[in-house]
Amino acid sequence: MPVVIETNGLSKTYRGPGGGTPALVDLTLSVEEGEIFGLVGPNGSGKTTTLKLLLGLLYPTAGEAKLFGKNPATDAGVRSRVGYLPEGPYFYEHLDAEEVLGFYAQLFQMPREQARERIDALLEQVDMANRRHVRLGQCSKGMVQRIGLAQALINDPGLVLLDEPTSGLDPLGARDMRNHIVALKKQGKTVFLCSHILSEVERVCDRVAILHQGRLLQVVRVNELTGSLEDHFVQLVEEAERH
Amino acid sequence: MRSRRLRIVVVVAALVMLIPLSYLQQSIDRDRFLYSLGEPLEYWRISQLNVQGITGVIIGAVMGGFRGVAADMLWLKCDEYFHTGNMQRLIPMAQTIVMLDPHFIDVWTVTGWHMAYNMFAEAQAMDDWEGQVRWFKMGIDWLMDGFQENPDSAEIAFNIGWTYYDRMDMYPEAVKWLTKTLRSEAPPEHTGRLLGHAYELMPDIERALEWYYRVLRVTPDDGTARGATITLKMRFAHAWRLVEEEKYDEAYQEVYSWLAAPHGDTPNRIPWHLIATIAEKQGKFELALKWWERSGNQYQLDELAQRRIHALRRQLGMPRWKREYPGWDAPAVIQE
Amino acid sequence: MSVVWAIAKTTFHEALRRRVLNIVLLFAVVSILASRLFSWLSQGEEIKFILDMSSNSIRFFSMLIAVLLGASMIPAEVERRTIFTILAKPVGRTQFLLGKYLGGVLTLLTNIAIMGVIYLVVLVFKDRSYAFNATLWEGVLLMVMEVSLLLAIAVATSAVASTPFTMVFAFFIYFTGHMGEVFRQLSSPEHVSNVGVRMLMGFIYAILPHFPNFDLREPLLLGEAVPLFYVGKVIVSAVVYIGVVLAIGHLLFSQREF
Repeated sequence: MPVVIETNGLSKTYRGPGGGTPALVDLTLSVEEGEIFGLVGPNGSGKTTTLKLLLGLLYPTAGEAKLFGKNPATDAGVRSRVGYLPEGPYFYEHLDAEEVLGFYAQLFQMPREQARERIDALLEQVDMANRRHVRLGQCSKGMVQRIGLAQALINDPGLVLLDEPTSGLDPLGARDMRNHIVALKKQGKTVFLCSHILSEVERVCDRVAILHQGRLLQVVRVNELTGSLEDHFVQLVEEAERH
Repeated sequence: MRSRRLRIVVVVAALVMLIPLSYLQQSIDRDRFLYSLGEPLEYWRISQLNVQGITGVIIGAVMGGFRGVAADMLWLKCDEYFHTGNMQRLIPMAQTIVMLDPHFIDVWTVTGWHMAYNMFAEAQAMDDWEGQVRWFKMGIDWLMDGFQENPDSAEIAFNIGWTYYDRMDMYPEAVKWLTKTLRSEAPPEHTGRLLGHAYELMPDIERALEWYYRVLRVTPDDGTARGATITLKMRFAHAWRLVEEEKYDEAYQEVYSWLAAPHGDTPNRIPWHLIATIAEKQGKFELALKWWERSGNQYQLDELAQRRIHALRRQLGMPRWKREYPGWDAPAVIQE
Repeated sequence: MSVVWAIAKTTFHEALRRRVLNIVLLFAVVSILASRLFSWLSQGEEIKFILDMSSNSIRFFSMLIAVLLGASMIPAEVERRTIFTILAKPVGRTQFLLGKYLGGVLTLLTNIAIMGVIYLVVLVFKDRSYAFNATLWEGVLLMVMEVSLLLAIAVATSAVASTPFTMVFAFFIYFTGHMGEVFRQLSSPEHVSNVGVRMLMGFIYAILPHFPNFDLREPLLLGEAVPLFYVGKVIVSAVVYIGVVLAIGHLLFSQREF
C-alpha cells in the first residue's frame, strides 16, 4: 500500500534556556493508505507536536516529514488532500454551522454549487442538519466537535488528522466519533489520530505508535496485542523509565 | 527551499524599495513647502513651546499631528485670560498658539487688538505715554508678524490699518494697510469710508473725495459718504486745489474764512489739520504750531496734532506742550 | 484570491461586532457633533473649529481603531486557536496575512464612512461650500491611506508580537512619524555637530513614514486647491510603504510557529 505519512528522524526542540526543551526526538514511522493509525502517549509526550509538524504549523529542528511524498512545511498545496480536527476546536463564534463550513469551503476555492452540496451532506453526516443556523457561540462542546469533524472533511481529504477526537465528549458522543472514524476507513481514507485515551484508540486503530517523553517506544499492531493496549503501554513506559 | 529563497528575495526587494521610497517622501516634503500645504513643526519651535497652560494632552496632540485642535483648545483657554486681563498669561499662550497654527487669524487679530487697544487704553488712563507707545508698537509688530504668515489675510491687514488710524492717527500708514485689504476677494466692510476719513485727516482732500465717490459707486445710498462729499466739496475742495497749485496764501485765507464764520458747533479736526498743514507748507512754523495746538487742546485724542506739536516745539526750541482744554464754545480761530 | 477574500470577509464581519471598536466609533460621532457646539466659542472662526475638531476626530479615532484592530488581529486568532484550522488548509501564510489586512482595511473604511457622513451633515448645516470641496475629499482619501499604513504596521508587528507590545510600537511609530521634521533638522550640521548622530538621525528620517504629508488641513482651511500630482505621489508612497511593511510582516509571520 502506498505510504501516506512518512517521517525520518523527525525532531523538534523548542527554544529556551539551556539548549531548549526537546519535545520530539528522532521519530521515524510511516503510515499506509487506508489504515487508522494511532499515536498515543501521556500529555507532553509529543503527540500534538508531531501533528503540527505534519501540518507545517511547526518546523522541524532535524529530520523531515512527508505527506503524500511532499513536505507540508513548504508545499501548501499538499494540505488540500488533508483534513485536520484540532483538540478542542474553536471557530468564529459569530458564524453558524453552515457559515463556518462555507468559510472553509472557500479556503479550498470550492465552486459554490459543489460547496453547497458538500455542506449539506456533511451536516447530515454529523447530525447537525437541523441546527445549521445555530451560532457557534451558542453550541455545546459536542456540537462544536461535530462541526469540527465536518470542516476536517469539507474537502473530502485522503488523509484525516485528528487530535484527541473524543476528548471531552460524553460516552454517546465518543461512540459517534468512533463510528465516524471507522466510516472514514471504509471510504478508503487514511486516519492518523492522537489520543491519551488508550481504550478508545484500541477500539478503532489498526496500528499504534507509543510515544514517551518525545521518543517513539514502539509501533504495535492492535490485533497482535496479547493483553490490553493500556497494560502494554504501562509495561513499555516502566521499562523505558528504568533505562 | 525554493520557497525560502523566494521569501528572502521578496524581503530584500522590500528593503531595497525603502531607498526610492525615501526619495519620494522627501520629494513630497518639498512639494508641501512649495505649494504651501502646511509647514512641519520645526525643532527649534518646539524648544520655544511655552510651558504655561500646556498639558500633556496638548503635547500629545501636537506630537500626533493634531496641532489644529491643540491650537483651538488653547484659544478657548485664552478666552479666560481676556476676561481677566491677564496679559502675562495671554501673550505667551497666543505665541504658542500661532506657533502651532500660524494661520489662526483670530488669534492674531484679537490679541493684537488687545495689545493696541485695551492695554493701550489702560496706559492712557494712567497718563503713561511711554506705555501707550510700547503697547501700540507691540500690537503693530504682532499684527505685522501675523501678516507675514498670512499675506492674503484681509482681516489682519485691516486690523493693522485700523490700529494705525484709530490709535495713533498715523494716516499714511493706515492708508497703506487699508489699501492692501482691497486686493482680497472680500475686503472688510467700511474700508472705503475709512480710507476717506484717513485722507480727510491726513489731510489730502482730493484723495478723500476720490474714496467717498468710490464708496458711492458701490453703495449709492451710503449716508456718510454722501454727507462727506457734499461738505468736503463745499468747504475745502477748492482750498485743497489751491494747495496743490502751491497757492498757499490763498488756500490759507479760504480755510481761515471758513473757520472764522459762525457755524454753531465746534469744527472737527479736518479744517484745523488742513490749515496747520498749509501754514507748514508756507514755512510759518510758529503759526502752524498754534493751529496744531488749537486742535490738540480741543481733542485730547488727536494724536497727529500732538505729534506735530511735539515735533515743532522741538524744532523751535520751545518747552514741552501742556494741553489746555479751551471749552466747547471757544472760537474756532486762533490769535495769530 | 478568493482565499484572501474569504479571510478578509470573515475578519471584517468579526471586527464589526467588536464592542471596543464600536465604542470608539461612538466617541468619534459624539466628538464630531460636539465640534458644532464648540464652534460658537470662536466667533470669527466657527468653520475652522468644526473642520479642525471634526477632521482631527475622524483621524484620531480611525488611528485608534487601526491600532486596536491591527494589534489584536493575529494574536486573537492564535489565542482562540482559530488559526490552526485555517493554516491547516491549503492557505499560504501570505494569503492569511493579506486576508487579515484586507479585512482590517474594509473595517476602517466602514468606520470612516460612518464618521464621514456625520461630518458631512455637520458641515452642510454650517457651510455647504466646504462639504463639496475637492480638497476635503482629497484629505479624506489621504487620511484613509494614512490609517491603512498604520494598520499595516500594526498587523505586521502583531505577526510576531503580543497585542500590548504591538499597540505601543504602532503608536510610537505614529508619533515619531509625525515628528519627522525634528529628525531632519537634527541631521543637519547647524543643529548637531556629531557626524554619527547626524547620520543616525538622517537614516531615521529617511525610513520613517512621513505622516504629516497626509494632512491637508491647511489648504482646506485656506480654501486652496491641492495639486493632483501631490495627492498621487502621497498615495503611491503609502502603497509602496504598505507593501514594504507587509513584506516584512510576511517574513516574520512565515517564520512563526504555532
